Amino acid sequence: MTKIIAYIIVVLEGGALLSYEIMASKMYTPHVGATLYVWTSILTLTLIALALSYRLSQKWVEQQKWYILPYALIISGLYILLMVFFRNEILTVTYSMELVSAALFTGLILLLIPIMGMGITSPILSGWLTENQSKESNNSAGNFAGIIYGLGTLAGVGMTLISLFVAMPQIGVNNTLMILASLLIISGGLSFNLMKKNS
Amino acid sequence: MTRRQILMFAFLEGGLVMLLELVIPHVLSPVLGNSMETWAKLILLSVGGLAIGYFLGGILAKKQVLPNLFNLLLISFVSSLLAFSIITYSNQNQLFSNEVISAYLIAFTGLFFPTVCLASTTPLLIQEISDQSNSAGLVFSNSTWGGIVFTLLTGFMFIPNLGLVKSLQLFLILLSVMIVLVTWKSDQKVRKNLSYIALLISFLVLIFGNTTQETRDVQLLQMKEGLNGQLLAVERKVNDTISERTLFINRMGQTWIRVINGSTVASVWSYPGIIKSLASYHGKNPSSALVLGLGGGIVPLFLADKSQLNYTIDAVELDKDIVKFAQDYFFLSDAVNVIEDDARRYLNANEQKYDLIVMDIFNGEIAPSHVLSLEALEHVKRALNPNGFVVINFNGHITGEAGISARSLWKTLLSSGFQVSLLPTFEKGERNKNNLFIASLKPIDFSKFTIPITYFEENKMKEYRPEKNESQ
Repeated sequence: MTKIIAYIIVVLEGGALLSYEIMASKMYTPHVGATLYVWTSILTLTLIALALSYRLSQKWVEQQKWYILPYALIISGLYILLMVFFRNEILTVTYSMELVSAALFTGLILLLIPIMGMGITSPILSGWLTENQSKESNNSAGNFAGIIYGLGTLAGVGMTLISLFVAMPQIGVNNTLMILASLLIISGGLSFNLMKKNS
Repeated sequence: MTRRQILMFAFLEGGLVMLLELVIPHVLSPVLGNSMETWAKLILLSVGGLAIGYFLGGILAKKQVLPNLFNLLLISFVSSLLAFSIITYSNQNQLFSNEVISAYLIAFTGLFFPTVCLASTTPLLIQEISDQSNSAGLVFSNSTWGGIVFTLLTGFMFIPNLGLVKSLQLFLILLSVMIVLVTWKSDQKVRKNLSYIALLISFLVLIFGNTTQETRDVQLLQMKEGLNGQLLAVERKVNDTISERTLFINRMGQTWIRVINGSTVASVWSYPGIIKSLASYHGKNPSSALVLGLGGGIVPLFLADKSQLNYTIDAVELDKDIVKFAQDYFFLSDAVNVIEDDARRYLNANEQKYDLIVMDIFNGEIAPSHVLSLEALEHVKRALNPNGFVVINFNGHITGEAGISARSLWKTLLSSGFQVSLLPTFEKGERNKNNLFIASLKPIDFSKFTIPITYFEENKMKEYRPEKNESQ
């Protein structure tokens, strides 16, 4: 049961992460257009956020600070809600910037914090499962990492398809973003419960 | 493998996945288009490949690590090589009757399968390093930093400066170097020999993998791959005094001119001439014009005709290569002030007023929606002088399903508070003509145009003069 809850958290977070990354392009275009620079900025900032979160979570796994996960997920959800309401006001500062800087700055504002928060989920959960479940289930570190990262990414593909081709055309960008934020807050609640049970 | 080697492999693996994720969609954009949906589909194909790769790597992590690592990298190399071959072959010949099939074949062989294989290596590397610590985060962190470095290099350096084909050649070389490194200390002769063959092939591809072909009639002036995809300028001699030049962006014609005696320029398409006629609304009074989207620069060239008009012209173009093509092959006048920026961004920040704004923006086959939204049109309104007007060049479809976007634009213009007239160009059939939307804040008196709108019909020059404003 513990493993299943961990997998549900990964599915919710993975779904939200990739959908948010793809939908970010819709938030960029009114301010910085829709060019190669936008996608380069989205991919770069997403990866920077993920790299930082992987590096931080590596330390937290070694120190067994599992309790950070729920807070990170809830902060990500709340930050996305903040962007729903205030991004247009904040991004007007990019108008005086050169295009490449504007694209990178927009990514910094929209992506860095929420994706860092979401990015710690997979390493922390795979570390947590290796620490707590490997003897019971006879799985290795590589095995757990494969399942967790695979599941999260697969959920991302599914959720992005739904966001892009169903939710966004029907209910618009902002409402879809609010759904993603809700998923993160729910997964934060679940992980709070999971860590509390097994502490 | 040592810890340092494992982390270096993770770095390269992450980097190469991102290189493919940026390059392949650009390779395919001439066929699949450049819309957000196309990008999203291809990114999903890549991310789907990552997901499958992680699962596969998780399973393989229970078995021998190094042989599996070698096999995965070799499969990735073979698949990418196949994609590269299809790409170079498709540049000159048609592989299938439907080129969309070729595009998806390239997407699977050049993006999906290599991504699956490269992603599978990550759990293997984690397994290899896990004797030393619980290091999933460390390996993914290195992989991700590789992705960051290669995304920046690919997006801002490789594609704009080297182009797409050379970026793919670079990918093949780096991948073959990884294969050689995996087998470096191996005593398995077959694997070692295969790795050297891969390296040799990648260098052969670098040396012989770039070819262009000219036909007897059509001369290639320049081909360049850059920010907006593939730019192509070609020339065809009609006779000793007349030649035709065409600018293609992602194989879509953007500008088509006839050059007479090496200097006099006429547009084969009628819309630039019609826009010049519309621009004569302000007569020879000193006026200002903003042209959003340069292409070959034929519209600003016509507007810069001081014998009939008196405009100072700003032209906004995102891609500096297009500006260079316009100057080198399409006679772009020095009198035109070219601003390198995204049109919407320029409008957002602009504080100047114009008497005429021409929106002639196509990203391949698509008029970008963020420049034609209600919000963007508010900025356009703000940039117009009270007697100014806007001309939007749009595709010729107005009826049926194909005309939905034009009808949407009509409604959006009306919702923005513009008075709108529609002037289709005179080519035959919706597919061949353009629709010019003329939008103004005050009614336009069409009798004020000093240059008549002329067109050919049945080999006779005819004149078209709208009698009244057809605003709705």
